Amino acid sequence: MIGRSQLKCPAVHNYMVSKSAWEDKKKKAEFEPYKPLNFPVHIPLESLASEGKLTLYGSKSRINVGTAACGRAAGALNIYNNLEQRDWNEKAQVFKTGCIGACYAEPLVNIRTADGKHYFYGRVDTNSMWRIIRTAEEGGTVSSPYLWAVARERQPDLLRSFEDLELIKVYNPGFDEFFRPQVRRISGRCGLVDPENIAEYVAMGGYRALQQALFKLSKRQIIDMIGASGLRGRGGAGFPTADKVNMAYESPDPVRYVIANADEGDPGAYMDRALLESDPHSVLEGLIISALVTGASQAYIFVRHEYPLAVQVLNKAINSARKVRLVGDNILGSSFSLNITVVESGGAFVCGEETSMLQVMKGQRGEPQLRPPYPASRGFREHPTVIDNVETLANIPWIILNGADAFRAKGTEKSPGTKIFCLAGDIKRSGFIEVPLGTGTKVLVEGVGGAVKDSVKALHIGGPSGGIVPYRDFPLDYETVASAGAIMGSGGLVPLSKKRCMVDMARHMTNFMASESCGKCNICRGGLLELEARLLALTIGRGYPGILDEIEELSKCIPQISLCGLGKTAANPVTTTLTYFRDEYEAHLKGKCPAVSCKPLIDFEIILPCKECHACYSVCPTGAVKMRAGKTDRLVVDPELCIKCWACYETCPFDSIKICSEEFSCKNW
Amino acid sequence: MSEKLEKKWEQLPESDKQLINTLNKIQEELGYIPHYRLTELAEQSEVPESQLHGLVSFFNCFRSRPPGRHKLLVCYGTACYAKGAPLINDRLADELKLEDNADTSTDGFATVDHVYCVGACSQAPLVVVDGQINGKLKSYEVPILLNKLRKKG
Amino acid sequence: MQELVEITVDGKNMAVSADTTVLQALREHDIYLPALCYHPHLEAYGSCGLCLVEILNDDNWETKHACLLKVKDGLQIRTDTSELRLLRSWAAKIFLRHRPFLNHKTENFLLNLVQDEIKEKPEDENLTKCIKDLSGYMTEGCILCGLCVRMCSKIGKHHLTFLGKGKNLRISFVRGKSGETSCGNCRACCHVCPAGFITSNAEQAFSAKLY
Repeated sequence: MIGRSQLKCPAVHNYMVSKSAWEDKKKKAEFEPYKPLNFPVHIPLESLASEGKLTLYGSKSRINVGTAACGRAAGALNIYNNLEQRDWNEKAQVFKTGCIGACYAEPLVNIRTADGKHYFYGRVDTNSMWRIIRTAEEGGTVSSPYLWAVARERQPDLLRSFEDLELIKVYNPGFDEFFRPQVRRISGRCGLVDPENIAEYVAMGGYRALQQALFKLSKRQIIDMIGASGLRGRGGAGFPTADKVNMAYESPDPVRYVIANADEGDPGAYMDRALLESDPHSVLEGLIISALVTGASQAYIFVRHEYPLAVQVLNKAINSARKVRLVGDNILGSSFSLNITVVESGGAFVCGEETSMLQVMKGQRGEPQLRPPYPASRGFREHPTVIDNVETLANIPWIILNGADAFRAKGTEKSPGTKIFCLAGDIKRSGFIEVPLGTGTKVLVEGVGGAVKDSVKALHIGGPSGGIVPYRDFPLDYETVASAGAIMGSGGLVPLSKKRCMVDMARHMTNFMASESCGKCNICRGGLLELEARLLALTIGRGYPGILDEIEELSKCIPQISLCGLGKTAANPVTTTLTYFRDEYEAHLKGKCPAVSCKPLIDFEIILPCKECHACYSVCPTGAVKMRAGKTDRLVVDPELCIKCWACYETCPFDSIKICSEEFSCKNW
Repeated sequence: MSEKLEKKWEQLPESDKQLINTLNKIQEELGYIPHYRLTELAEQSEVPESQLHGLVSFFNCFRSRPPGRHKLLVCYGTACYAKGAPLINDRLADELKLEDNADTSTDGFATVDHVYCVGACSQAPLVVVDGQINGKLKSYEVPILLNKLRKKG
Repeated sequence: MQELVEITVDGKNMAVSADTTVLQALREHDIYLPALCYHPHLEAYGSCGLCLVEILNDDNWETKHACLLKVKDGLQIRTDTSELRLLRSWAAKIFLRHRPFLNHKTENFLLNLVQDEIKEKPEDENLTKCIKDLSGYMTEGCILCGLCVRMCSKIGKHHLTFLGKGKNLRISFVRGKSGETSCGNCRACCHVCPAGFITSNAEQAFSAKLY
């Protein structure tokens, strides 16, 4: 038994206290640092929680800088470095956290002062630094366009998730609208917890579900709980999770495996990345419980190659969990042992499909295999393998702690619970949000996203396997979306405005699928190419009579003959756009693009009142903007040289560039 | 597999048993996967070399040829595409004078590749330059970006 | 005595050996469904999409690949409906993109599957240009059925592999361990190739290389 006195041991302390606090302690103490222990030590969860609380609700101010991939893209690392290098004189500490979901507001800084108030600063830059410093050192509100909202802990010194906060002052109404419809059950710790500090995760209620699962519940009880909750796979297929686990649980084979599917391939969807970078332990906890119930002693996490930060954070999280015996031999002192291995993919969309992933893990090309047999009965190395999406796994600890009924309290009858969606596209506020299933699209696109009413033409749901449906208010759940011809997919929602050409979007999706198809089935590989060629012909104004019928036939044949999910859903963008936006296809046949987007079909024109500021002339890359002698109409666009790059349109301060495709013009947008 | 090799294989940590992890390590170390490393790996893991050729070529991120000095990845995800990624791609190809199917400029200065979503869609359209994400890029800012890179060398 | 099950094909009942696939069972009764990627000595692949049949499941007719479908007692099958002919027609059209084939029999067999209305119409030249611009790798004469790759693996030589994926799919010949300079000329791949693409040996036929 490890006594409490050994917790003060600096070596173990090292893993639980953030680096700056440790540096402080090193400076103050006059002892030699011990060498780190070489074997994992079982630390009771209560002790870990106390350590975490020191930094979460300390007497010092806590400055969280959102440094997930989206934050870094906006320059958050500079902000972090500036703040971290300052000598705060014991008044404040700076932490790198994940993303709170409001990616449009990056770089985002939130400060917690000792009285339990949280100050949210959005779109931070060097100008706002001194206000942040002032707030951190003295508290209170310093009026500033960067201070978007102030919240407080409903119960002082209790912060388990974003839901424990209530907004008391809102200076940026958009910020409030962004969060109002959200129910952040799974993503509640994102942006508030230090993802590399396991003690903070435990202080916020983490690993308690694992404790219950190990010591208080039987495997049957846990499976039944998940079954009663109605949890469906969040990766796209929406398959009931409990059924999958049951299949493996009841198999006569004693060897089982679990795999966390973090190969989130849908372009435009990044929920899994956000979860892995901001709150990796929630995924680990879900994975460990899933392995416990399935009877596995080896688990894998299959991550996309394109998420290097997520791989790093994940590896660090697994190592810190191993050091306190939450992963490895005899977890939490029980008889359950589990090893977790991270497998990094090489960049292929099809590997998100279960059987394709298993092929890659065998060292073969990722060709999907016929199902049945399903991986849950015969998968990795021919043993039952339960493969779950990362978001699905993160739901499991919540269900165990709160119960199946509480899970069902939000969502619909057939699609219970909450789902993380990624909103990105022609809206003001993009980011990742968590709302109950069944929430209306209007609430998401206009409320959360801030889109202007009537500016959104279509909604692209479910990525390249999904569909593009006309924008109207309908509930977002698996059944309603399927009846519209799309699939919910992993949760990517892209609102498209009138500027986006539906034929071109369909072509882009088909191009993606044609390149990512594994190539085994002749109909998928060759058929998608034929489909793409016909769509390309339309976008360059080279349609021919009968092309629409051919496109329709192809998009019906490809799903029927294909052997895997990719082929079966690859034609969805074409089928849905052909059904709902046939007028755009017909217009392209006549050589016009109603969205004024397809380059060969549009013309650029400089119209009066042109103030001759010559901005377009200087920015044009090919010299197509020409000056000609004369008193009026002196600047013109030469259609032979114009490459339709839109630079002039975006630079003109007087709105004097008109782009049109016969009778359709950008002035009608 | 021969018995001795099978024993050695069993003793490897689980992570190294995954061929894909080994390939990722080589790619990270050298920037591409040279032929001789594949031949070595085929011998070590007793897998036919043709299988490794097939595996390496299957994935978008593995290169069989050395990259340029700078790596530029244009994101072609849905949000980025909708916000003008092809314009940026065309401008890059133009400025670097990339030939038809080549992805590296002839002087070895830079490689331009596509990536299908890095998960930073709020910063669309973006280009990842040597690992750093440059978000909200406009096509006419491309020459400025390239000049900055040229100054670095 | 092998166990028998009874299935119904296009209205006719017949007894077939259990533990076979529909494709094999029909061949035993001299019914030859079109199939390009099938070989009795290799595991069924299901890539050509020509051997499609419709089976009755509850009240719906579902399309399935005959080479991958195991027979079971009471199975009801249709082999020739207008829907199936349309599917086979498109599959054949896609194969014919790689014409001309050295094996004329296969080429004619595929042409017969393409529905007449489509056969007579000449293809729009804009479409041909678009296909050319978009296809990563269009190997003329090779239909990428994969029989050679599977055969070469089955006999233990492992010289052939697919490279790339999707539009860029192609077949490559890999030398393998040093010491083995040529493929040995067993000609197994020549015998299985339906398009006649491999004439002398695989090394000469496939020029795509990763390195």
